[in-house]
Amino acid sequence: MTGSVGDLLRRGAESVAVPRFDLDEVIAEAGRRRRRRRYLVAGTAAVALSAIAAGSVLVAATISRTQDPPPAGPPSPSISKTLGVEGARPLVYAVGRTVHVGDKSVQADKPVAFIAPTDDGAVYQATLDRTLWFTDGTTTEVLGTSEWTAAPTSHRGVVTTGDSGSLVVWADTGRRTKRIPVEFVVYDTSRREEVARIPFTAPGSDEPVVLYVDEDQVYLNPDPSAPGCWAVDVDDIHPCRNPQLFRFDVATGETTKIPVSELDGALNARARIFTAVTQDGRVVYGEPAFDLVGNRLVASIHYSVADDDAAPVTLADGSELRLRLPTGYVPPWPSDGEDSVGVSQWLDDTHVALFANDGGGDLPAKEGDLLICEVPDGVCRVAVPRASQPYVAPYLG
Amino acid sequence: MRDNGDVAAFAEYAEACSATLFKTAFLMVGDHQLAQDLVQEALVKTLMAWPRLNDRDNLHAYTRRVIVTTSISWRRRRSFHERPVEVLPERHGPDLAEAVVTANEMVAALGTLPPRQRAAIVLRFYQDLTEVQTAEAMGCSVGAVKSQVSAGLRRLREKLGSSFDHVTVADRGVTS
Repeated sequence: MTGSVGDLLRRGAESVAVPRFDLDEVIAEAGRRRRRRRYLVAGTAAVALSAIAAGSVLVAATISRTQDPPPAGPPSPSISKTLGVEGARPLVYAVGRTVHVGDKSVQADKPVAFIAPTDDGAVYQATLDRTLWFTDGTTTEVLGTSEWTAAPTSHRGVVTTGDSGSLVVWADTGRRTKRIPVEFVVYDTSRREEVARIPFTAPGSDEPVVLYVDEDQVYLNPDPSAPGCWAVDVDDIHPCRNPQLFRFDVATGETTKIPVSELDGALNARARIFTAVTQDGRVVYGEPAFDLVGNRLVASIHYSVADDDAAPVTLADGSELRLRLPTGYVPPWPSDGEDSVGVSQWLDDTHVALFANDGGGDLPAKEGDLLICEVPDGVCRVAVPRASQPYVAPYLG
Repeated sequence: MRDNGDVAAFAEYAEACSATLFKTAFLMVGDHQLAQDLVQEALVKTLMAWPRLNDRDNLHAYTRRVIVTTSISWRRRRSFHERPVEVLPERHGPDLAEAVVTANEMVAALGTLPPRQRAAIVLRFYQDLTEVQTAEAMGCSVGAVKSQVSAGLRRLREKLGSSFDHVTVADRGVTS
């Protein structure tokens, strides 16, 4: 064996065929993420800040990869310790093939790569697998297939669920044979049935965006390149005086064009939303970032991507939201690494689950702890301690 | 969505750097498909940050850092369903293919290292970065880089046995 370590590594790397990268997909994916971030920070409210903060839930598409769906396997119920909050949504997460729903768990056919909560259980998917599954912790069933799958490096946006309620929304090809999504499927996990299909409005070169889902309605932005003035637009956020979007009512099946101020108002009236006030007095909502100060996590919302401006998350009384880590808690992130805490899921109006990982990256899969914190008191406890295997948890960011 | 000039400039950058980035990513994760996904993700993040990247000379450093931090996280996540390479490729006798074979051995041994050690080795010896540059890419201190490189080399020596004695552990030796 001769040569230097560097020479050997270079020879090894040179022997590998370099693939051709799909720059169109890179540009499209960056555009999708950028629009989500823009919308995230663009909500302004005419009313005074009155709601206790809550997590942002504005997600849409992700990279599409396909693979044959796995066969349905028999569920394997088991009981674990009490993890969540009594009377609230079950805490959901997955470790490998084990899907946890509160105190119950079932075995999936493959390691889970994406998971999202509803009031009734968890929707989940394996890496690069189009099949969508639902479990209440006792039984499993196939909901359908999604055209947007959980890629190894991008898990968000496979489906959209609300911070409350039973609705699940995802893109589907409808009855076409070509794998180009043409409509959204709306599934109700409490009724265990598909309840609506929403055709894409003004389809063009990009996909429509699911902005928000509540208990009864789906807020949608059409293809951002569609002519008009939309909440999410190809040029900029709110580029015109009265940006609009669509609201689909599940009960009536009607789609109504509404001004973005209606969605902003609806969001700010909800308990499960994190809000902050910018320097110029605007109320913004979004996923908070957390800074560790002593044993407290100080929450703030970044509202300007370009300038990296942030405002503290505030409570109804105007005080800042500060979450207290458990006494003696040792954060999992390294002292020389980045802090990494994010919002995973709301359990009820006053309990939110956070993930705390080791700061190694930005993926939903975590090796740290799942914490449950009370808002506004700020008391946190470890619900799922770190283990030898990483877990996959919902990610509202 | 964004200025066409930006997109064109990004496309030019991506075309020029994607091969180098891919090879780095391959050494980081040891899998062709995963390396491709890793570069794709790094390019998406670079494009998103493009308006803030005023210093175009540091573009490559930014993308490289994304690859490093993402690969470290990613390898941790994947570790539960992937086993490290316990058996290295069989060594061949001295012939014209020796260089390739030994390179394969080195790459295979590299794959057994923990993520941070692997990243430190790749950045120091493949990318030929200084300790300071490596620390910047990994988001850690120079001292941490030194310890990761030292531990990584020690582990490579354990994996490759006496044959590693013939490998030159040469680098730039520059710390600032």
